[in-house]
Amino acid sequence: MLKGLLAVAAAALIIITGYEAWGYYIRVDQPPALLLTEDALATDDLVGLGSVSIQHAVRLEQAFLGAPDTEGAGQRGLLASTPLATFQSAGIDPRRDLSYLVFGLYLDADAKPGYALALLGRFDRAKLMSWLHSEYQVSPAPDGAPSVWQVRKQNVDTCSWSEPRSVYTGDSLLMVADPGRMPGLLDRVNRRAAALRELDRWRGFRDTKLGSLALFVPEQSPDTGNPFLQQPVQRTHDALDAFDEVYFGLGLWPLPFRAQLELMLAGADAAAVTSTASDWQAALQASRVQWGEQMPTVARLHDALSVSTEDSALRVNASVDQDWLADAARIPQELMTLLFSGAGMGMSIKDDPPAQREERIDENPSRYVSGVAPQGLAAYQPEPPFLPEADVVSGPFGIRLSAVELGAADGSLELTITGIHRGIPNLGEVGERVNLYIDSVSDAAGNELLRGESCGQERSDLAAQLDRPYFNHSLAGEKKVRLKPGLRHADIHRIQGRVELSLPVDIETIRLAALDREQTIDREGIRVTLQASAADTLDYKVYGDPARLLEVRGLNAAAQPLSGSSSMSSGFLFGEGQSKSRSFAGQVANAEVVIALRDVEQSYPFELDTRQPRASQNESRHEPVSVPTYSLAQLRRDFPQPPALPADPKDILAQAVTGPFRVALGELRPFM
Amino acid sequence: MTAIENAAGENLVAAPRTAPLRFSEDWQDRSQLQDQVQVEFETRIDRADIHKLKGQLQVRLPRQLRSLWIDTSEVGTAVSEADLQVTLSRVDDQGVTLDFGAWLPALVAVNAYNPEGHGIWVPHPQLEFKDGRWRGRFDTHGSAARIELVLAAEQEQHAFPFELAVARQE
Repeated sequence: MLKGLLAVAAAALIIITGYEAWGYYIRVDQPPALLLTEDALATDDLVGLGSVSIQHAVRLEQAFLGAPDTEGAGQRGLLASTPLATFQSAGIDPRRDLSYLVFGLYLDADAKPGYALALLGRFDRAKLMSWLHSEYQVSPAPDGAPSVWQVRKQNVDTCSWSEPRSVYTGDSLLMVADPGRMPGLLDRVNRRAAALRELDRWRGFRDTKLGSLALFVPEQSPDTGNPFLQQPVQRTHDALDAFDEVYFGLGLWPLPFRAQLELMLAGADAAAVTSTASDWQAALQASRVQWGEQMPTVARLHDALSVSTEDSALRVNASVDQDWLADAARIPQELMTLLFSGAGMGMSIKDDPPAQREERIDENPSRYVSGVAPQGLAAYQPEPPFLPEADVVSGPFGIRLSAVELGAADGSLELTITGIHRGIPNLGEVGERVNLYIDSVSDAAGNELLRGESCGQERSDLAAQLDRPYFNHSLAGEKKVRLKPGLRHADIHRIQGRVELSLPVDIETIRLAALDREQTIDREGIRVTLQASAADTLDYKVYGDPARLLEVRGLNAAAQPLSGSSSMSSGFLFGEGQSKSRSFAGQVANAEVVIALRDVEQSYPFELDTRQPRASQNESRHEPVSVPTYSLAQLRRDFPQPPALPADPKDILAQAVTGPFRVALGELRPFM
Repeated sequence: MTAIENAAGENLVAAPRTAPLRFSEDWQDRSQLQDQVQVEFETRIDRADIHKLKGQLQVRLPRQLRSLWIDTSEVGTAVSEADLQVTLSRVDDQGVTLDFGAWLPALVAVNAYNPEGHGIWVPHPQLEFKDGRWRGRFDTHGSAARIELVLAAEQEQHAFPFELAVARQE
C-alpha cells in the first residue's frame, strides 16, 4: 500500500516537475516592464510591433548549448568588431544585462515611416554615455529633456552625417527613436499609458515565441516614395485585403530540439480566411507534387508546413529540425543535377579531362628568404627612365614629389607624393605591408600647412600602400594630401613623412603534392585549407590573420612556378575567414604555400626639401614651333581643287564637295 | 552637323553637334590634308530612316598671332590678357595642366622651354571641357620652366555648307 502511494506520489512529482520544466523552456515571460513598454509604443500610427526575449534565448542556450567562452574569445581578439564587442564597450553584457528588445514601426499621416527601439534590462548610464560620446556626435535634446540625447554619426569615408536619432538612457530602459517621436513615447512610458492598439491577440501569439513581429495592415498602402519598392508594397497590401493583422514568430522547442516558425493572418471575415486557407493548402499540395518529380528533397520539405484556420485566423506552421536541415543541405546538389541533366551533362566534373591550357612559367617569381633583416635591404637605386630619380632616398624607398595642383573642391593646393621600391623580398601578394604616410608639410618658419581632416577616403592621416606594380618589377604607390586654404605654392618648404615596412623575416614554404584531396596547414595564428583541386586552379580557405599567408602558388610537374592568370577572393556570409581561388597558366601538379612566421616592423622617415616636381621624362630638345598667319585666299591657292575620291570608294556611304574640301560619310552606327 | 533628315525632309535630331577637325598630312597623298571625326547624336533614329545629313565646315584661319607666356614655378599663377585668363592648375612629373575657364582660346601651337631657355618637345595637347571649364594637358619631354601658348589674335572665319545623301542599303 505504502509502496503504491509512494509510486503515485513519485509519478505525480515527475509529471508536475516535467510540466513546470516544459513551461520553463517553452513559455516566454511577460513581465510588467515588457507590457508597459509595448503599451507605450502602441500609438495610433503603429503599423508594426516586434519583440525578442533575450533572456529566454540565453536560458535555452545555457540549457542546450552551454555558455560560450566569450572571455577567452575576447582575449584572443576574436570578438573585435562584433556586436558583442560593441555591447561590451557600452558596459553591457548582453547575457547578463539584457532581457527584452521591443521595437515599433510607424507610418504617420503623410505615410512617412518611423521607428522606435527599446532595450529592457539594466544599464550603467555612465559607461553608456561614455560609449555614445566615443561613437557619435552627442548633443542634448532640443527640448532639454533630461536623459535624452540627440546623436548622429559621420561617415569617415564620405564625410556625410547620418540622420539624427534621439536616445533615452535610463537605468532599466534604453530607447532610440526619431527625434520628433521620442518626447511623446517617453511621456507615454512615464504615464503608463494604455495601448492605442488592441494587443491581446499579439500577446497570445507571442506567448511561446523567442521573437515575434506583428504587422497591422493600414487601410491605405504606404507611400514608399521609391518607384521600385512601391509596386511590390502595393501588391502585398492588395493580397492582404481580407486581413487586418499579420503575425510572424519563431519559437525553439526542446526534446527533440527544433525551431517552430509560425505565420498567422487575422481578419474579421471568417469566410475569406477559410477560402484563403483552402487556396493555400491546394497550392502547397500542388507544389509538393510538382517538386516531387524533379527535386524530391524540396518536396519533402513541404511536409514541414501545415495550413490551418482558427477563430478567423489563418495559420501556417513550419517545424524545422535536424532532419529538415539535412534535407535542405542536399538541395544545391539536387538542383545542379536537375540543371545539368536537362542539357545532357552529368555531375562528374572531376572525371572530365581538364582543359589543356598552354603552360607559362613565372620567370620572375616572388622571392622568399628567411633570416632577412630590414637593415640588410639595399638602398633604392634609380634606373631612368623606368625607375625614376628620387627627391630623397630612405632605405629601400625612393620618394618624390610627383604633383602639385589646385584642388577641384575649393582651389586649395594638393600635393601628390610617390614612393617606389624594388627587390624587397617576402612581401607576398596580399599587399598592405609597405605604407607611405605624410606627417607634415611646413613653410620656412616651420608652420604646419597640412589641412586637418577627420574624414574622406583620402584623408591625410591614412597611408598609401606601395604595392602597385610599376616598371622593371618595382612597386609604387602615391599619397595625396591637401593644404590649408589660401596657401601659395611658394609657401611649401618641407614635406615630412615615413614609410612603414612590415617585413616577414621568418618564412616557411610548405610544398603540397597529391592535390586530389583536401589538405590543411595549421600555424600560429593562421589556418589554410587547400581543397582538392584539378587542372589549373587552386581553391583554398584562409582563417585567422590573412596577412600571414604570403602566397599560394601552383607548380607544374617539374616543380616550376606557373604564372598566375586570375584570382578571386571573398569573405564568408556567416563566420570568419576568406575563400580564395587562383588560376594558373598550365596544369597544377603541386602547390606551395608560403607563410610568414614572424614579422619585423621598420619605419623609414624622410624629408623632402622641394616644392617642384621633378620631370620623369628625359629631356628632348625641340625647336619652338613657328606658326605663319594664313588666309582663305592662300588656302584656295594652296588647294585649288578638292581632294579626289579614293580609287576604291567602297567604304564611303555619301560624299559632297564644298569649297576646297571634300566631305565623306564613312559609317553610320548605333552606340550605347 | 546641323540636321539628320528622313525621306520627307523632316529633321530627326533636336540640336546640332560640333566636333573639331585637326588636319594633318594625308599619308596616301602628301599633297593633301585630311582628318576624320566621329559625331555622336543621342537619339533613337532607325538607321533605315536616315536619308540626308546636313552640316557645315567652319574654318578659322589665323590672321594675327600673339604669345602668352606662363611660368610653371607657381601652381595657381594666372596670366590675363584682354578677355582671356589662363591659370596653371597642375604641375607634375609629366608636364603641366592649364585652366582656360569657360571658353577655349584659338590655340594654334604650344612651345615649352627648359630653365636654360631651350625649347623642349611638347606632344599634341589634350583639351577637355568638363564642369564648365576648358582644361589643357601638356606633357613635356623634360622639365618645363615656361610654356608659350601661340594664339590666334585675329581670325578669318568661313563656313562651307554640305549635304550628304545617304545611299539606300539593300
